[in-house]
Amino acid sequence: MKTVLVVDDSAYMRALIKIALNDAGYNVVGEAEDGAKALELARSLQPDLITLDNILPDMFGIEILQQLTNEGNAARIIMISAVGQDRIINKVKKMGAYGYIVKPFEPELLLSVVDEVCKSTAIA
Amino acid sequence: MSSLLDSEVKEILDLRSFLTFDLNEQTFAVPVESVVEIQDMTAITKIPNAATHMAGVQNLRGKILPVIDTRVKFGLPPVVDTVDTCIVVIDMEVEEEKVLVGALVDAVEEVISIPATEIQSSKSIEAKFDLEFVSGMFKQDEKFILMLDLNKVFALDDDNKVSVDNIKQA
Amino acid sequence: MKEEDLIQLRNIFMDEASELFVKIEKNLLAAEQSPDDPTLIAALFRSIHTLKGSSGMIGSKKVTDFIHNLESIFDKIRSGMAPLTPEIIDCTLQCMDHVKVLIVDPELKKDKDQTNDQALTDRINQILSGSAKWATAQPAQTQSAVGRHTYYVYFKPHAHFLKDGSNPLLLIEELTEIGDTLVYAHIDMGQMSDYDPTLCYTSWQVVLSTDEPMSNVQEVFIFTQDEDIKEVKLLSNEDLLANPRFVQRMPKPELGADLTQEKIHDIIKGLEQEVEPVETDSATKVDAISNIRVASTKLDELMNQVSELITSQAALSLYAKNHFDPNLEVIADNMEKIARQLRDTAFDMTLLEIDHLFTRFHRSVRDIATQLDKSVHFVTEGGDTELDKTIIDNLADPLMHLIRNSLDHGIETKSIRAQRGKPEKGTILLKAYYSGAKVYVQIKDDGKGIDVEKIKQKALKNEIIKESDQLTDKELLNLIFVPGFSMAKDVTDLSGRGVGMDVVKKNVLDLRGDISVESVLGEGTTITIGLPLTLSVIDGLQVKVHDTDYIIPLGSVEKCFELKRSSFVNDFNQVVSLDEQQYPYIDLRGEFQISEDNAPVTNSIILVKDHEREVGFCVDEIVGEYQAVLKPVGKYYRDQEFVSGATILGDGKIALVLDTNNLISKKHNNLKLAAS
Repeated sequence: MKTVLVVDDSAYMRALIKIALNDAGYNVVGEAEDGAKALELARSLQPDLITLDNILPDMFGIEILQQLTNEGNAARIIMISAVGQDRIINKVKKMGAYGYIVKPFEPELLLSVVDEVCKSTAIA
Repeated sequence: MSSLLDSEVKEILDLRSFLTFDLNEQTFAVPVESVVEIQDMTAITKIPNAATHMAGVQNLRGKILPVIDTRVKFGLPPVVDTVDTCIVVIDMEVEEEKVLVGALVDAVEEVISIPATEIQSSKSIEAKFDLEFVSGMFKQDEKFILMLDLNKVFALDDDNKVSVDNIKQA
Repeated sequence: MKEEDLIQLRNIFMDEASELFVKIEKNLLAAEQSPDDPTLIAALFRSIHTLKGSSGMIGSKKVTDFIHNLESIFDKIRSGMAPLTPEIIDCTLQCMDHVKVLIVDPELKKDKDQTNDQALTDRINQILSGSAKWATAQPAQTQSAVGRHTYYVYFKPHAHFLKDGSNPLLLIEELTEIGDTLVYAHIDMGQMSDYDPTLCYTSWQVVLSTDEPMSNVQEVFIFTQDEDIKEVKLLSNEDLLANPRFVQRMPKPELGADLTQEKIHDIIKGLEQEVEPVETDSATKVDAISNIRVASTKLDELMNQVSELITSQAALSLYAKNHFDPNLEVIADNMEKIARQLRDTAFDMTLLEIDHLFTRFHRSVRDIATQLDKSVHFVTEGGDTELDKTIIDNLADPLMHLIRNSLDHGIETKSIRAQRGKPEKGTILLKAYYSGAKVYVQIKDDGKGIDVEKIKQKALKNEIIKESDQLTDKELLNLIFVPGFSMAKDVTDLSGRGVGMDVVKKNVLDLRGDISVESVLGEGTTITIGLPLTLSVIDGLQVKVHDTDYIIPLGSVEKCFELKRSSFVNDFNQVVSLDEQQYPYIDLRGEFQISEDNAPVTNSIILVKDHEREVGFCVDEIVGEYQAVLKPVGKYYRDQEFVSGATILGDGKIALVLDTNNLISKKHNNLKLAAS
């Protein structure tokens, strides 16, 4: 069963993603509402997957993506953001994200992206 | 004696159940649903400078139960407490809040069921008390039993005193 | 998704939305005072962004669409491309109010909501399209008065620039004198063989940071010709050259360095996405203090259980004492210590900062002041004062009423204030502080004060007092608390209608608090509400009078004495001598009308303090200290004045908690009457 860390500063979003993923058979093992906590949990829990919101109170999601990639953290990261411009998506993929979702999204979309990310050997 | 009728039969006959008790040799009735329990008349702590009809407060399993001296409230002559004197604990809604209140009575009688049809208006009766507190009455075993209107009896007066003038002695 | 999950999610969404509304409002009001504060702007953007995201997820498309452009406005503001103007603040406040309506009624069934929706959407769009002008600045508008801005300057003199002896370097030098610069030179020449030394092949790109206005930068090129290409563009409202990371990323100013405006913009954008150095984020750091949300019902349960624990522990202590078992006593003492600590911790959890209320009031004051066309400076102090949540919940209405009174009847209009030589802006001060065993909340205004003469006339008219009554000013002022006594001449929208000070007083009394008023005609009014720190557990001194136990709150106890009863009972003087000082006293036996038979020969006198007044309370004996779990005596006893609650002793008996402040007040009033 794939373990997941959910990062978003909105309690509502965390709850929504957690319920959707747990219902689909994933195992949400942690939640973080800011960057510092996200880094801490990514390191300590070593989850298989991280859903990562871009706008956090103390730093940008992209920053966390960069740092975790540099550290060699094995988690596959799915960026979730409101900005959907191609330029950002490409940038994020170049930095090592496995998937990219734009808010608002249907929970089904989240699940299908997560499924693909788990199966893929390359970027979804 | 308590009727042990099936609830179905009760419904057909529209039976009302009451707890009856005595105050100064007059028997009163209150709806049984409002009665929580009967407490012994022990350890009532009087709160000074309160209305005269307030007997005090009692410890009801950790809760503070206000106890009303119903005899004073009805303007009856004071009575020496006997071994039968007890407190009827009643569940009331006062100012949109549920509260428990205790009423001091001389003795508790029994729980009885009366068909609604036998309940009469109390207007025709002469009584020793102001019938303001009475919502009806019925006859049982040659006695008239007065039904108390709990909301009126336990109303919160803003000056919290029921002056004796309000209660006519027939 | 399961039904219950959907319901839970909806609740989380609503809770979070409420919090966001509060946060946004608070930050907007703060931004009115400091519109340049980057932390406020960042916080506002994030909150609006989150609100938009979540509402999109839960299916409130109307909300998402409505907020979308508002988010864009704040995105621009936080990138420094637009200022946070009072118009934007005002518009956003109104938009948030509208969003609250949209969440509940997305179809906008009420006509006025429909109109409002259209009006606000138009307003947002106007602001947004107006902002297109901001990025390409007119110098006068975008310059904030203080602070350095960074410009991109491009200068390519025409080929024959040098012919009349002009030296382009002088212009570049001038630029470097205006501020800090990074200068890049380019040579644009074809074949070396084509080189003509009389021609100018060089162009310059300069990144200049300066606090001089853009016009000054443009003026450097004032004597150049049209054929000379010059460009001055605003890069940022910040001093980019002071940012080491920006400088690091810029190419080295060597000849031929590859630099374009796009490149610079990329660098700037890249910077925005990185971690800000530690200093700037103190506000958000505070937000990140680890908090857990707990349903208040759980807290109530916890408090109940702690209370029961304390009661049981008291029974245990009593048992231990009566059974002379030293081992058991030690255990019981230990339990008492732990129970006390547990009480303090649990209690602390039910305490909230009164700031919660204060923030709500800021918004209301602003709106009401605007409605009344009065200019008011609303100051709050002591927002970090903590109170029991129940008390705060019940204080909201009375405080709001008092504030409205201040705004309506207290603070005068601008013209009247000017006439009286008062500052145009009235001040309303809302202050919370601890004193002794109580918390005080005070509302103070510098308005017109209360006219005691008018009170007297009104009271006479309503037959509340008689001509022959002699009342001091203070007593007259307190008449405003009598039911039905409304000071409003006509019933206004805001106050009056007899829902007046008497209701406020009743609410305060229900919280076992007290309220007093002071006023100086023409100068202002101060209303002070005193509240017990807690509704549930207090440290008390257990005493006995006849066969009843009473508790005196330990916080008010100054000292205890012993005196022979005969020395003061039936004494004409009404005072006792304690430590060679005279104090008025209250003989509880006498007050409670208990007979003198069985009165002990020696009484204990407890010197109790309330504010500045000290009174000795005479009791039969002092039993000891007691941690009392306060229970209310209930509605049937709400009019009596001596007892503020009851507690259950270890042996199941009830002890009454004395309302010493009330007793002391009464005593004082009686003394004054007796003296007059």
